[in-house]
Amino acid sequence: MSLDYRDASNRHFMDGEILLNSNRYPNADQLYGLAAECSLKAVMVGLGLQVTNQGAPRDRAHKVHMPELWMAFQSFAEGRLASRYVESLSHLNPFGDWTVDQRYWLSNAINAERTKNHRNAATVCRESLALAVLDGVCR
Amino acid sequence: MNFNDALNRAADLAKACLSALQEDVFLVRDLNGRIRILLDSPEAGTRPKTVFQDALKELARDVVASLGTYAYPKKELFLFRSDLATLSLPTAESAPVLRTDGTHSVCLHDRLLMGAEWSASPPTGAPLTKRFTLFSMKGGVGRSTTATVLSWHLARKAKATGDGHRVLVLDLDLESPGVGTTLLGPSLPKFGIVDWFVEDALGEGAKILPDMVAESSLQDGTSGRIAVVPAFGTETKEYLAKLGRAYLERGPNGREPWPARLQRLVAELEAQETPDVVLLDSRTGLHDTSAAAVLAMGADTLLFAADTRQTWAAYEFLFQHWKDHPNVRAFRTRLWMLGSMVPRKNTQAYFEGLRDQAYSLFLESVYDRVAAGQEPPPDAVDFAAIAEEGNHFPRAILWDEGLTFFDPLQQWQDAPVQASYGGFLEWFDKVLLNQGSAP
Repeated sequence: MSLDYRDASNRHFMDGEILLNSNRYPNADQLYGLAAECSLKAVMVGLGLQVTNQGAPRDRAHKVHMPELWMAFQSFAEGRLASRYVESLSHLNPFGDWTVDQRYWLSNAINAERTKNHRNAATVCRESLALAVLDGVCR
Repeated sequence: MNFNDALNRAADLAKACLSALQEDVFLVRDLNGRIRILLDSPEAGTRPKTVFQDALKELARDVVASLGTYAYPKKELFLFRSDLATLSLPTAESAPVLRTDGTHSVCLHDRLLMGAEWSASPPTGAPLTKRFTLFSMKGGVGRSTTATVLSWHLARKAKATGDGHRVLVLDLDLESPGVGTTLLGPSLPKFGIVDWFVEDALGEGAKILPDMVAESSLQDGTSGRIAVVPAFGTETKEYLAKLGRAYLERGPNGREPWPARLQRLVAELEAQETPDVVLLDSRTGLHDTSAAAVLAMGADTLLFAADTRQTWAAYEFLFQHWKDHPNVRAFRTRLWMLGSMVPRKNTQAYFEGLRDQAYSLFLESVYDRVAAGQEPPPDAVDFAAIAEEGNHFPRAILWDEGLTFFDPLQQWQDAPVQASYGGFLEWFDKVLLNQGSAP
């Protein structure tokens, strides 16, 4: 199965919106983190990230989830083209309190505020991806 | 088919569909020069569904067939604003119109890696300080020497209070720094402009601001002041490592266009140094940073020109671009042509050649062409070629051998400076310092 980070970013974000509207914060929060990850990986592929035949990153440093990917993206970006997509991302990692393992946590562990912060951060990543699509850097 | 043909062809094809689509159609030309079509939404809405969908199909078929590699494949050809809601995309009022049927238009949305700043609009509201940008297409035309002479002249020139002017000079030619060392010699401050951009990206710009300014000894014996902000200082050290980061479009609070960062730097320096006049020595040529100095600072710009084919060809590219600038009326009267290194021999003939070239440049792009018997618009700019008050009319700086190896800090050359710059300085005082009427 080949990977499509752009499509996956849309799916995770849209599903996150449905869960957030129903106050289902823990899984909405989980999906916003994944949507952000997929958006940045889509941009990185557009910028020339080396991938396997299936489309997964070759380097271990890039085969990561949030919060590691936030910083990995900033280290990966170099040159004027990449700077277009990194400039909107804050130096402070907004996913510092997010982990892919939170899917195992108790249902009351994640509240609305935390979910909304991650939603905002995912939106920034998706804006970067939208720019890259408009520029013709991502398909 | 090439880059130029592709846009024209796509514009023709899109125009043919305007009545069926009943909306403004945007051609998005990406970084590679490939074209896509941006519409509001894939839904017909209140429009007849079959007509709308047939028009999309027909447009996709024709564009892909005609443009080949210059267009996206059919299934990726259309983009919809409804899918890009997070982005601020241009409207028909803010984008160049390629075709129109009187009701709807075909517009261009050009995705540029660099150069978008030449389409920017100047800030509204005048800055508190008089700002002047010195810009040239080619190097070696005396731009930095003019900044030096102008600051020397202004520091001596009395204001209403009787004191000379307080001048602040910024060296924005980061790739080829000049005026900072010309005015300061080895007495540089600790840091320069390149340091500020690096520190500011991390929110630490204010820390070095007081250490970025030094006074030029050219102010000695005057009641004015010449404060200089060079490109680099004595503690800059890794200049290239800093220059490679200086154009980041990111400030302490996230994404910030570079002209806005420069605007902030200049405003902070003005608050710190309280100058009467700011001189911005711009980078040469059609670079984004020059565009920031010319358009984003609310400055009057001195456009240096020698009468050569290369100079006019380059200026023509810029002025042709400005011809379609939606806000050209806001800045066209702040552009001033300057004839540099005007030869002593056949001066009059050379000057007239320069003037006529400059006139044709302005006339074809930014001046209004009011036909006889027509009512001119209220803010019409319609000078004759020989009109001395025209923005195109070159203010001459005469070539002088005494200024060839001019080192103002070692020895000020009063006679050659007066001979070269006398007329220009007189005009500058009258017109740009608003101390009297136009020449």
